[in-house]
Amino acid sequence: MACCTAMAQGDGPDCSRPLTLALHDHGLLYSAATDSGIDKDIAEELIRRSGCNIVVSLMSRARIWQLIESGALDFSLSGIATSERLRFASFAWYFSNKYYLLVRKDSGVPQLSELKNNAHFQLGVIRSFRYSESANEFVDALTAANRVTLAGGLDPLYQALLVNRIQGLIMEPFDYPVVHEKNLRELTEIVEFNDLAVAHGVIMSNKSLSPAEREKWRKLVDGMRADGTIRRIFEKYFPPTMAAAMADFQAQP
Amino acid sequence: MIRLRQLLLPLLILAAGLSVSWIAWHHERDLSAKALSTQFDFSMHEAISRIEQRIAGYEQILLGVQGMISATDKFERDDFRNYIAAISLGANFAGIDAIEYEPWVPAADKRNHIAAMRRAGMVDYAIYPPGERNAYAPGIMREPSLGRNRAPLGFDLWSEENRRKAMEKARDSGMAVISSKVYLNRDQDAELQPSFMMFIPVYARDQPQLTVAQRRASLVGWVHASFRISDVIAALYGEWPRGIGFAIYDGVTPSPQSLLYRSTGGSNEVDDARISGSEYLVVAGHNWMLEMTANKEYSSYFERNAELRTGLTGVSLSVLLALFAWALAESRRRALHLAHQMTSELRASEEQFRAIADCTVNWEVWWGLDGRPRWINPSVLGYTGYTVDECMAMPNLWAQLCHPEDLARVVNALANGLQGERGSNLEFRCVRKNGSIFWLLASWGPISDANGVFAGFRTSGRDISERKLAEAELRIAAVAFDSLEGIMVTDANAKILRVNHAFTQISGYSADEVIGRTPRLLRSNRHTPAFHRAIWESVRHSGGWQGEIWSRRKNGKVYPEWLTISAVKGSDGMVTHYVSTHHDITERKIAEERITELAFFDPLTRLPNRTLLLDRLRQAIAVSTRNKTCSALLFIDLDHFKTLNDTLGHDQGDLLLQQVAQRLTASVRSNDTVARVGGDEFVVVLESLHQDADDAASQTRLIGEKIISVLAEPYQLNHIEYRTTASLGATVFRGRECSFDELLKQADLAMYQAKESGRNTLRFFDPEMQTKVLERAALEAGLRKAIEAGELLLHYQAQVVEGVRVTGAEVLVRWQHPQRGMISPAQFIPLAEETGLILALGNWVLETACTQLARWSTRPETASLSIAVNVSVQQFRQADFVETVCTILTKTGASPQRLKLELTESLLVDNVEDIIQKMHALKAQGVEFSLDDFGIGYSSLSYLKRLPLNQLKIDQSFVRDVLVDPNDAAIAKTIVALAQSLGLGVIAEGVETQAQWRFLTDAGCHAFQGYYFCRPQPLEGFEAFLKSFRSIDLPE
Repeated sequence: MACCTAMAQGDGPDCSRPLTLALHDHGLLYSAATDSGIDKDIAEELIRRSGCNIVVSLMSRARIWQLIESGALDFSLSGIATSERLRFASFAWYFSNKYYLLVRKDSGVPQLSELKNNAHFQLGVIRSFRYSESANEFVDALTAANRVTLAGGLDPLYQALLVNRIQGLIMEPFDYPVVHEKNLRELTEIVEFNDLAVAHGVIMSNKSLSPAEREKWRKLVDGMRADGTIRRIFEKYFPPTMAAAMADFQAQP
Repeated sequence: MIRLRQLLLPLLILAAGLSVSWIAWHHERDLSAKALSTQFDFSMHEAISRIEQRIAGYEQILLGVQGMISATDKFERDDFRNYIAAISLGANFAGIDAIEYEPWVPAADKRNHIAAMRRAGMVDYAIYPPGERNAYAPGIMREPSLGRNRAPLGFDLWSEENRRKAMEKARDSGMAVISSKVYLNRDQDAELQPSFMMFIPVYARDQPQLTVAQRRASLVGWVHASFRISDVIAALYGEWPRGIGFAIYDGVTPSPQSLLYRSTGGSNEVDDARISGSEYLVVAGHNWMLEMTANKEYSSYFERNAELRTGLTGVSLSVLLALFAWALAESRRRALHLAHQMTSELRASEEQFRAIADCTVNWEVWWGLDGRPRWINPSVLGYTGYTVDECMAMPNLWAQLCHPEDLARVVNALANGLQGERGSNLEFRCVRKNGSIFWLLASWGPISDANGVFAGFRTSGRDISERKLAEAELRIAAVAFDSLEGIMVTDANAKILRVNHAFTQISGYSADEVIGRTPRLLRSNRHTPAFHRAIWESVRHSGGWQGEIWSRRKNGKVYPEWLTISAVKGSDGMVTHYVSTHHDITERKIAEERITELAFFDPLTRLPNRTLLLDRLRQAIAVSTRNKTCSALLFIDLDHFKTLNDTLGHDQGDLLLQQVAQRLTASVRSNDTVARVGGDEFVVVLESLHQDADDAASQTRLIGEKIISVLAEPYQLNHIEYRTTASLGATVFRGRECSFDELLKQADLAMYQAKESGRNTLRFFDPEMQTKVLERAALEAGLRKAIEAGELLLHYQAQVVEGVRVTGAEVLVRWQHPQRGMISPAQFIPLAEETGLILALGNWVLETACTQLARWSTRPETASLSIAVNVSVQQFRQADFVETVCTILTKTGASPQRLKLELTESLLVDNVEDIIQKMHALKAQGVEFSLDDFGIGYSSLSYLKRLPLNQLKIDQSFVRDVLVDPNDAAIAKTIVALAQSLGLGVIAEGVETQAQWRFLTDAGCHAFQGYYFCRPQPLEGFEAFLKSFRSIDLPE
């Protein structure tokens, strides 16, 4: 599925061995059906810039994290950091966004606090996904109450939401069009989590990549941000303002 | 109530323990549930993971087949078969039912396709289901072609909806896509097994497949794998986890239609399920739902199950603890109960005893076997001052209460009490709380408890202090009785009951001789019956009498004794006995006499001493006054007694005196007193002589002369014969003419007269001498007064120079006695000097002279006059003499230069330095000094140069005979010359004649004083003299 373009780079990352990068099917980031998405573009850009042979494959997100941790996978994309993840992965941020709760209109007053206590509110969450702080709290609270349904990807969650098997799910801006596509928009409301935008970045396995290599890749990604490549990619999928909001952010460590 | 209290603590403990256990159990349960859910989640996740992996594996296989097909130009059945056969051995193949290839046959190509198939050897090949459709996708290869797979090829997958959907998706995406739940055709005659297919598109090799359109355009066909779910699942797990059951549904909605697979491992009954969960899977672009349940088996396998253990442990522990606490409390209660019971029993028996013991006056202590008091009766307070509580609290009762000296004895004696023995009659002292001591008589005996077992001993004590006291007193009495004083005990009727040894000694009567009789037998005749009655009156009245009494001894001798009689009364106040003490005071009396003697008698001669003499004299005066008779006093002085003492020694002297005393005493009448008043002086008082003084004097003379002759006889002093004489002085008096001091003086005087007359004679006192003495005394008194009364006055005698000028005057003091007239200084000056009045006199003279100087200084004609004042030695020697003079000068305002002090040479005898100092001090003021009576006194010529004198006065004795006695003349001349050469002034005293004046002038003396010029006269006379003084020329 993936192509590779060999291009020698002087002080760039080490390309002596083929590197692996996994994408997961997640809305605009990547759609397996169309084999396209933001992350695919980013991946291709990474390949182009580094000149390395990177094999891109598709995996479930949960698997991706597993393999990043074990070192079987070198890269993935659009990952957010948690304390657990930071133990085995490093990140090179390239965009940020806020988190939202997509909730069925008929599930009652969409107040987060109320939904937390609502026994009939089942939340759909992708396995191994983490979100912003209050979104995480929300998820954890509902998990403790056994009112979270896990899934391997967004699609079954949308399906479940449509058939009211779940009443809400956590989503990000790049999930919108899918929503739109699936006519969920009339059915649902969006509640914003009261957090700052969370940075997403290139996930680098600590096990398979040395700190120096990771630094090189980070520099590469920073370069992409600096010269507006990221924004341009986002602009392909988002209105310019949104693209700018997501792509231009203050890098956090 | 007690039960409840007892139970309370155990119940509390139980409750606490239970609640802790419940908390622990709850916690454990929570933990357990969490652990279980975590484990379950893990199991679920694991299952999903496996499924995803397996699907991914299948994808890889299909990709491999796809690759193989794309790579081969002419793709033949054999190639397919071989490839599949090769890969079917792989692990990933497990679960695949078959892999098929179906080409894309659009309708237009249908005829050609069938023809080609028939040509290839499949004679009966046909696409089924029959019918004309837009397109077809018949399966033309299938491997492995075994068993059930022997269904005819040519089935048009495109015709079946589920298959077609997946194929379309795969074609458009270029990725492996799983179909929804299908049933395989082959199964239609057999049991239907839920299955699914995974399609992968095969594109023309040399065409792009970047877009959907391109992909569609380049589609060649599909490869698909068909799976029986059960096989797939079987291929997932080697061994099912125990107790897990799961179901896989196609899509997101669990329903019987969508059920793909249900495991048999778990239970199908939901109500039996402990945990369940579901999750959506995305496999190859297709949503599945996995529902997992864990039943009891799983939970019990994975469950910790600790909560039950914990709970049970907690509960049992709590119960045990509660039981333990209860048992503890119970045992304690039991012990207390037992103790209480025992105590009650003991108390009961004690109560009995105590009831008795409390009645007694005794002090009871019950001792335990440990030697500590168990019970003490309240009497202890009265006995010792300590309360029962205080005693019980004492660390060692006996040590605290027992007298330290008796403690050892007590402890020893009571030690056997602890052994169960009895004892009694232990007497010892105890110390009360206030420190006082009492005697205790203790007895002790064992105590048994209700069972007759030896349980301790009790001590019973009685206060025997009184008895002890009585015993002590008896002892004292017994000892006292045997004292050195005679003691007699009589009964109330004065019958003698007992006498002691000393009484026998004194009275001479033994006890047997007097017992039964009365003290009358001791009476002497010395006292009147009234005296004796008075004694007994006193005894009856005041309980006793003491005093001196003369008693008679057995041998009849009367002796003085000091007798005390005391009445002994019984407790009822009635007299039971009389106790008398007899103290023989004979010795005392003798001693008294001796003392008296010593006080009044001369020890050597045994004659009355001066003290007694005076008394006798007083008596004699009294008698003389009363009887109007004359008495006489004789002073007797042994002649030359001192010589005797010095020559023969004092012993002989004493002998002499004694013999003299004897002779004197023998020479006088009995009424007369002979006394020794001095070393060798005796005084005789002759009482009651004649009434007539002369007759009395004659009597006195007779006696005196007798004394003289008696005393003149030789004495025998040991071996020496001695003769001496005496001088007697007598004075006769009647009544109270004079005081006895006077009398003594008179006699004394007379004696002196006798001595003066030649000794060995008698002289009578001369009244005239008395007069003289009196006069002298009067004069002395008068002089004192004279100074104050202003009877003194100054007479001035002019001092002239050359006969031309009066330079001043010497003042001489005169006494104008109111009665006696003018008394010359020769009379009173010596007297003044004797009595010390000279000081006052001298000061008066000074002051008067200075006052006069001050007066004179105001008048020009007298302003230059000086006054010469005689200063006595006594005056000058006064320490404050200088001050006195200065004070007088200041007070009077006189000019010191005008004052001349005349000193006599006798002043210079002693302490000349002091004199010089004083003279200098006064000289500094301007006072002048002249040395009076120069030439006749003690003066050393060396003094002349040291003394700050101004003038020498030539004594009148020289002046008087200056013409007659050449010596005097020479002396006078020398004095003048001396004075001149020493730079001193010189003045001649006592110039009475012109010739003397001339001589002296020739000699060089130019100042003169004397009758020739001026007699001493009062101020007025002197001042008149001044006025009238014309210079007298010295005739040639």
